Amino acid sequence: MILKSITLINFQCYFGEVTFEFKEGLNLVIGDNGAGKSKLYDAFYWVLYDRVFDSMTREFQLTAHKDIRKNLVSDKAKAHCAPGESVKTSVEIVVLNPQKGDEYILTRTYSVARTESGTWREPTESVQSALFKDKYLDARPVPQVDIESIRRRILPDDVKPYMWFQGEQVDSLIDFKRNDTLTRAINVLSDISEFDFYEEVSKKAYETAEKDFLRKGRQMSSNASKNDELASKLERLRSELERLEEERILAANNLTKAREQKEDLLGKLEDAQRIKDLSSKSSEFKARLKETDERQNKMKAAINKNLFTRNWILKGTGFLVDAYAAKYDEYTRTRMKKEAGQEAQKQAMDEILKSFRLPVDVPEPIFIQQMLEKERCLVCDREAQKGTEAYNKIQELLERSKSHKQKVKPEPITKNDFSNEFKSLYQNGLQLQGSINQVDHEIKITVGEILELETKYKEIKNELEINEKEIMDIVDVSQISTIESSISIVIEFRSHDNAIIQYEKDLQRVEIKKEERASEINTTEEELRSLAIGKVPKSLEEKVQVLADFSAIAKSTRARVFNRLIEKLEEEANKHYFNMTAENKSVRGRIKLEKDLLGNYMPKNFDSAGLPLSSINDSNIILIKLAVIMAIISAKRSSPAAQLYPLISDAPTSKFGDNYAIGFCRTASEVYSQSIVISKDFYNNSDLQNRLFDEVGEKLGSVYVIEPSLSAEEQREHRDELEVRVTKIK
Amino acid sequence: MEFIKRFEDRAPVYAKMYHESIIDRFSLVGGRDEDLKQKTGRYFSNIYEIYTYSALLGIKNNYRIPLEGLITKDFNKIRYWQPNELVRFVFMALLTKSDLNLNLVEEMEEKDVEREITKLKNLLEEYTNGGFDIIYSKIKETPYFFENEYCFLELLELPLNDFGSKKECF
Repeated sequence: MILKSITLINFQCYFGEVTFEFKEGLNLVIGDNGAGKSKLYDAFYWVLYDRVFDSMTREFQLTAHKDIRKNLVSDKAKAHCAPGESVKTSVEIVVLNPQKGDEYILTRTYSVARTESGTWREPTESVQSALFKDKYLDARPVPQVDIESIRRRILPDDVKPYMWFQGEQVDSLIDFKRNDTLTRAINVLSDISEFDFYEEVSKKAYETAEKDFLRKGRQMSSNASKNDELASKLERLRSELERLEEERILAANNLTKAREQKEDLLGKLEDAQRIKDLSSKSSEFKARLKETDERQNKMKAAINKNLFTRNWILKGTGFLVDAYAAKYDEYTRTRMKKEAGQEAQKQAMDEILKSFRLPVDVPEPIFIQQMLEKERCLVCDREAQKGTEAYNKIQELLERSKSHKQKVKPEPITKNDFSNEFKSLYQNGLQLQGSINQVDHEIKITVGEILELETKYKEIKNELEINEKEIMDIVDVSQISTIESSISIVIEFRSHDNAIIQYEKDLQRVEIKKEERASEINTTEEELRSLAIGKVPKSLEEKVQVLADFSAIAKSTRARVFNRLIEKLEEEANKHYFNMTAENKSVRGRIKLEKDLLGNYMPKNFDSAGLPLSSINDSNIILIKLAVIMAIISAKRSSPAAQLYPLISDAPTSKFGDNYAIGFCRTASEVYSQSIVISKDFYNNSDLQNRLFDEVGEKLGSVYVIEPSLSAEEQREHRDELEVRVTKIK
Repeated sequence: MEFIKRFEDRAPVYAKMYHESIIDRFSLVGGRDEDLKQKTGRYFSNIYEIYTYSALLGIKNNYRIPLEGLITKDFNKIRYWQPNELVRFVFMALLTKSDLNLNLVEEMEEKDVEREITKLKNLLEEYTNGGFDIIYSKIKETPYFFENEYCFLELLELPLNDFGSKKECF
């Protein structure tokens, strides 16, 4: 089957009608993240299965799911739809059967209607239709009842997982933890089941022949009762052997499971320890983050506090101090002038006083008073009658003393004296001038410190995010949800360890018993034969022998075919593995399919010395899985899958780098007759595109580039203007 | 007679329109919860803090507006304001800005001194009113300006007299 084209009308982000045409070989649809790649994959899926991928549940959901039907029709198409009208989305694929030249045209449509009030009526069902067109006739509708069989013809359900997959599904397609995964895949994609049938038939034929042989033997026995006893013993022993085989399978199963679980937990154990270490690192980061945040908040809060406590409010007010100083200077000068006038007066008075011979208060006022009363100078003992010059001179001595006393208390020079207050204001200003000069520097330092803390905060937050992401990545892969669960993992791990020891003992015991029973069966058979008095017909004996051989051949043939398939599978897987990793030499080891106790095979990675590689990374595991998926298809050329069905893969190499994208596409072009790879690896990378075109050469089909009409940011704001632009570059 | 004390015994008034839009919005009276102050953007702990801030903002920018309309009358006397050295600085600035002659005031009768002190108080109110107007205009112009902790610091850093047509220098 060749997928000739897919046409999308108003499907999700694809506005209007968009058609992709494909050819045999490798077809590429290239687009960046958010360009509509997964929506294209959804379109393939929806037209066949009525389902699209729901990013919330991470599963493919039916159209009926409310989150799906709400987003199925392009927002832009809905924006163009007037109230009372309806808008339709549809996807159509044209599939060609190259052998017959017939075509199937499969279409799915879904319509929503806008009510007068502007709300949307979204039915729960889509409508599927199909047309069949043979080489010579026009297309004719296929009855609804037959559509399902057409769908299965286009892509059988059991083949689907290996032909249509997304990068993130590869992990679950080949589940390394389920031993029968590979066996199941081989059963689906090969004719090995025919050999199972031969094995079963030959076994049954042998058992019937043997029963006939024993019945004849009994008839010819010398001791019928002994014969019966031995026959019944033989039957019992055989049924016991069968039971023991069942027991062996059970023990082997248990042992395998316990080993798987132990291995599973071993990985988890390491992961749990890693999660624990990372979590404690996260706690440290959180504590540092909290501390930095608190310090930052404290400093920010201090900014406004500092307006008053550190006088930042006075920023740039130094000029006011200078202006007041000037005013105060003028004030003091004027005041000093007044004071100087008063001083001059005082000095003049002092000059007058200096004209006296005697110092002030000599003689003391009481003696002067006595002299005035006695009208006689007691210093020179001369008469000084009242009214005379001598009397007046004595009296002046008294007044001079009084006037001197008055001078000690100077007269105020102004009515109000605010000088001390004006001075205190001046001194306060001068004192604050120091702070004012420091304000700019202090602010610069503080803001610098805050910015430093902000940077530190961002750095710690970034480290925390990286750490948390690492935890989430491990959690995603390991399915360990909490640190606490790691404790139960350790306990579980120990219990599996004990169980393994027990199952190994059981297996050993059962196998010994089986050997004993087999030997007993041989002895009993011999005893039975010794009881025969005549000869059992040769033909009967030969029949048993031939059917026993036939049964053994069928069994060994089946095993040989299966082993050959496994060998081929291993060889093919390695071929693809090397092909895909050719550009990256740092990989890789060699894939080996190892047989377990139950006969199932598991892919393992070994180095050149044949030792298992213990430290293979996620990319390697996925590459091994992709290689095995391709090997399943390519190993058995008789499998119709590679020839009949196209590979459709969305972001198959999303989990690893550019170097692998070329390898994957080249390998896909060699394995599948048609592949449609949807990828971002080649977007805006013409070097890589040219390399691919060169390497794939003639096997290159169509190449499209898809780009959204709006940037991611614009999409958030104007979702109803979004459409996808499709450019065919080859 | 004490000049400063008399000034500090006055209780200034302010336009009522700024009570809700500025004073209440940016002050958490009695608020010691620094975290709450930070979260609510109420950076001042007292009305007199934002009053002093606005007064200095007006004085620094030589921008004063006479009070009009409704005024509040229940504000604290200046002597209760803190810190004292800043209050004194504001008074010093007012003396600088006013046309009061320091020598003449010492020669005045008591009633004349009182009148001069009232004039100084009025001057304080006008400059504060100017400061409030600067803040209010900024809120209207750039509402998100006050959403970061640096806002009142940044406002102090604005170029002097940069208030366009609203400038009313004396």
